[in-house]
Amino acid sequence: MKKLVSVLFALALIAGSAWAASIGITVNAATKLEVSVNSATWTIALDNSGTAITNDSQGTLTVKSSKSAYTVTFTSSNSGTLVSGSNTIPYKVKVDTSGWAAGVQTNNLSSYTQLTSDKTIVFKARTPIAGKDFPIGFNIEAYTDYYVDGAYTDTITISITAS
Amino acid sequence: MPRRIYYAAWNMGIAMKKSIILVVAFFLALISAEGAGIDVTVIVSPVGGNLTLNNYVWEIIYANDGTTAYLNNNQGTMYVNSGSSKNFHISFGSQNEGVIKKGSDSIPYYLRVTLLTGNYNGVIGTPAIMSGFVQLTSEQTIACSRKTNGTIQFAIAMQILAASDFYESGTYTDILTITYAAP
Repeated sequence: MKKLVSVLFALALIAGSAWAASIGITVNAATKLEVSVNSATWTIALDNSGTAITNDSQGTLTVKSSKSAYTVTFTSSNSGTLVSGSNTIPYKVKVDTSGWAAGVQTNNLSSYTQLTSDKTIVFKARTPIAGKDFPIGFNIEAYTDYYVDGAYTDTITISITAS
Repeated sequence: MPRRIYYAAWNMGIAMKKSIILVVAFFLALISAEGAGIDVTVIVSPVGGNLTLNNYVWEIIYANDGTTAYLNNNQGTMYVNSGSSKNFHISFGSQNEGVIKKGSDSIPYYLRVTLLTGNYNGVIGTPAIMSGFVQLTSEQTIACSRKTNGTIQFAIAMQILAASDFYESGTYTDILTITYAAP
């Protein structure tokens, strides 16, 4: 009887082949930190009658931030006084952030405050792309003596930094 | 020679002859078995395919201004050679399931793959990642049923849509893994 013998040759058995490559993706999302005001000049008439001047919407502050934590700082060139030569008139400002309470950590200008030193508003949330607007109020308190007539000036600098 | 001794020697010779015959018969039987037909099967190992890229690091600047989207139709080029395999597939997977991440913040991104080698018609159907931009929330696959006969090329496009709000500024990352496999 003829006997058959099967012989199986397997040459370097390899079930299949596989390769993998990895790509590291890095995206840098740009930073936006910006403050602006609707008017860079405030011209205010004081009638020297002793009556206080208060304007809760003397100006508008717009804040734009792509950071969640940031601080807006108000600084006066003359420590919170308007100056005409050697004569001065103290004044106060406030910033109303009540319209965006969720985005504000601490507002040190929530009430009329003299800028004898830097005053800050600390925020805790990114603003929308269009930014957030806040009214800036201006105040000169009532007085009992005449101020020397003339033009008194000061410069308020507003800055923004990431916290 | 005495008759007894002769007969003994004669019997031994016969016995030896028998033994020799038996041995010969056994060897003959063995030779008959080895001389039968042999079925031989040979498995040819596949010549391995491979996949390479022109760039393994993508660094992107996103404007983050609410208006400008990011789009690069040639963010990367993929080179595929299937070797001797006609059936193979290419899979795309994201470590972060289709978003780039920075701590708890994330930005979704989308990929699209385009075949650049015009005379290759081995792609099966129209995979989602080749019909438009897709987010790799799950693995996406391109299956092929023909050998590449050399190296074929694909362009990988990347897109980040403009957002209505700022993304937290900073550096976001993900790892994209592309796998070639042939059964």
